[in-house]
Amino acid sequence: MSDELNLMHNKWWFPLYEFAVHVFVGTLIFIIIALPAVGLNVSIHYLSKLQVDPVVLLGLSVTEYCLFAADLVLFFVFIFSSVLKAGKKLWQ
Amino acid sequence: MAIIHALLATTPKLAQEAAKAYFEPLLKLSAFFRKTYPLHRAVNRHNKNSYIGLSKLIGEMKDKDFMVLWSVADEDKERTMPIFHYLLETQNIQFLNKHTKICSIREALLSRQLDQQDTLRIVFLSRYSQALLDTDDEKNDLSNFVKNNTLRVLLDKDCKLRYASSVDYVDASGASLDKIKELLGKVIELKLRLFLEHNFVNKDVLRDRSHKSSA
Repeated sequence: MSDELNLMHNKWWFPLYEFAVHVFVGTLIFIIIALPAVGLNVSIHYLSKLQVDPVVLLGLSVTEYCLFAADLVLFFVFIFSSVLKAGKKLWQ
Repeated sequence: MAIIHALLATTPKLAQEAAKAYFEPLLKLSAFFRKTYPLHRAVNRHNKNSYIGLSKLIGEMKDKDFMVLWSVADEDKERTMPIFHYLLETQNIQFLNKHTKICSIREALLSRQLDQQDTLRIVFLSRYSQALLDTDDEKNDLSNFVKNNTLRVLLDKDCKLRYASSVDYVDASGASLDKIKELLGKVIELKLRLFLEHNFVNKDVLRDRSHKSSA
């Protein structure tokens, strides 16, 4: 395993590959976390047609936005730091 | 072929790294609150309450040149030493001198209330031990514990912790810090000898003292 890692680390394109894997996994996690937010949004639309109490809808909306906002922040920070890391490695 | 094999081998590791990195801000945030919140809470409690209830007890203890009180909540044992280091490093640690005046070590050094020959005694108190102070028997227990668990801490000229040792543990190193950790949550007295190489030591005061002691 260590030989394989050494072999990979010596390649100039390895940081790019690493970046690609990071972005792929990051996007996957972003989608996984965003899915419940989307689900909440859909359910809010459905529940509003059923004339559910507005307070409940408001609570669900707040939860949805909080979840999505947290996910967005994490994703942006992750992408930014990944770009920085890849850039540094490529520069070296 | 070897490269493809290597790629397949390293990809899961990279994916794992990525997953960790994704949640890193959250981990950092929680670590920040874990470190900061107990610190502030302990400092506040230290400033507001600890001195008042204990000053009588400390006043009764012999050989009391300088006392440092530090409250340690039971649940904060693991974090106590970093807090202690933090306080020493920022010179934010406070103590009671024999006139029960509260000031920082830095202030004391600058105002020459302390010098190389001074010994500080730090009393660590848990929430539990603070509760112990209500009865005389418990006060005696506390005093005995303090007597039996005296530790010495050397500071460098900038008041940073150089090393700590118990009296019976002369070759002190990091191990004695572990010992402190073990003892925290009960009551610990640290004998703090200031290891001042220059600047802060008032040579005149030292000379005066040596004259006085010889006289």
